[in-house]
Amino acid sequence: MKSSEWPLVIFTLAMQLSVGIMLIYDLFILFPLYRSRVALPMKYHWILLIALLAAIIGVIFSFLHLGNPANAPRSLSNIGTSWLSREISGVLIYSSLLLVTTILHFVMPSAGRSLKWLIDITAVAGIILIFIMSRIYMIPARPTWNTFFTPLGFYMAAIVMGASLLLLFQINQGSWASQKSLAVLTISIPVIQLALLPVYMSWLSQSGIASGQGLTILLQNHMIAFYLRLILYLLAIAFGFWAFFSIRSDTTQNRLLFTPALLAWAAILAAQIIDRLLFYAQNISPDGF
Amino acid sequence: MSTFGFFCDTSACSGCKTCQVACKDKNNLEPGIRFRRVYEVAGANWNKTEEGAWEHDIVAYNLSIGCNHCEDPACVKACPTKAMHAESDGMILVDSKICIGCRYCEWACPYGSPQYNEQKGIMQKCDFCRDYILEGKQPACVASCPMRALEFGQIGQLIEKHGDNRTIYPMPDPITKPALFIRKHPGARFARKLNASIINREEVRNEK
Ligand code: SF4
Ligand code: SF4
Ligand code: SF4
Repeated sequence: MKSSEWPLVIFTLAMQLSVGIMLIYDLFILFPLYRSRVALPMKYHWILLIALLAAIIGVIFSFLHLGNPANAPRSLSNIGTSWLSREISGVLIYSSLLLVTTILHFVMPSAGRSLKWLIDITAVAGIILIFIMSRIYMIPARPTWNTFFTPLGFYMAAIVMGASLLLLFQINQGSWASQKSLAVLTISIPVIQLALLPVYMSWLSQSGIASGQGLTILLQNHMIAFYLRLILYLLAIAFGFWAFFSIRSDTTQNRLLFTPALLAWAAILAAQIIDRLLFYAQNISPDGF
Repeated sequence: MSTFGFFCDTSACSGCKTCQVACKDKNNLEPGIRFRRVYEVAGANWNKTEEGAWEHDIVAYNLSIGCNHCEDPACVKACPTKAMHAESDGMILVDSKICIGCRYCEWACPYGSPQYNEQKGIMQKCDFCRDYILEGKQPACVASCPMRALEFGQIGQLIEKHGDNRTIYPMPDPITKPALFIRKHPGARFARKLNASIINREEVRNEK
């Protein structure tokens, strides 16, 4: 892998973590509370701040990827045909919405309930942003990326990073049901990622010379990373199950959840970093050109 | 719409790489940057004859590519700043004053033509030796070829003279409509069967 891809690894993962947090927060934490008309705990505003921090880290690293960042404002000039131009616009829109949402929640904490629509819009902007991010890589000149596995991988990364982080965040304040559902997500996404791996590899082996090289890169050049990722997926599943069975309806016993939730989150984060490094390692031009 | 194009006679190219060197010299390119690259394609196989003897099949030829100044350039569509752009005569050029060095054009081009200059933080590539052409001269690569395997000219004239073949194994499908016309080496038709591939990848790829 080229050292120049590191900023892209951090940029894509940080943005996807941010979107994942917003999406899971909206669907699995806020939505049940709104439906049952329960008051929002004040601490939940910190979730927005974490998502914002992740987006800011993403934006900073997106600049580090550029050889000549001084011209960066010009990158919005080709929205008509360039997915990169669209991505940069998407990042700006999503980050601005998140910034406004976070500021409003901190400035007017009592208005939290009436601001849910803003969180909905930000989450939808995030979903669109991840689609645009994946489209950047789906180009004929990069056969190993030009597949539906790319958007699938990006969405799964966002969901699992968001769910596992919020499970950790919810230890002292979440309801039994939302904790259980976050633990299920923390387990099921690595299970799907593991199950898809042989499908992806058989696709790689069957789809032309360049994709065949992709398989060689995975199994020979980056063999240690490949197996380390497998182990981390398995660890994430194991810690996820441990967390699932540590969730008690008696919230005074919730501290039991801390260790497995922390370990599951760490394993998932490490697995996603390696997964993304391997993704960029497969930056292969068609047939060696 | 591109007006100009290259012709490469793969049946004549000896792989001497004089064009590659002439281009580097003309454009004063740093190590690792190659506006023109000579790809060595080779493959071989052993076959058992009916008598039980083993004989080998071999194919080997060379393909010289600069930028193909494509009629449907993927690099131009991908570039977020419009630094990579088509001139009115169809030449695809990079405006280094606008380029942000995102390298997206490098990913989008199926032919490895955009070359990233790490020191300057910008993309560079073959400009058809525009200055030479405006002076009525041939591009440096074309003029230097001792085998006369390269030609430069109006697309219409090149097609009239050599036909409209824009690909040879293992080039990708010509979806970008490259303005590169190719006379096929006779061995090219066996290349796929012999699992031929580019054997000098390390040499031609800009790994920076
Ligand atoms: S060969 Fe590549 S860089 Fe040149 S015009 Fe075609 S797509 Fe663009
Ligand atoms: S590196 Fe420069 S020319 Fe290439 S896509 Fe980015 S801005 Fe455009
Ligand atoms: S036309 Fe000029 S810049 Fe392009 S490959 Fe030939 S020598 Fe190099």
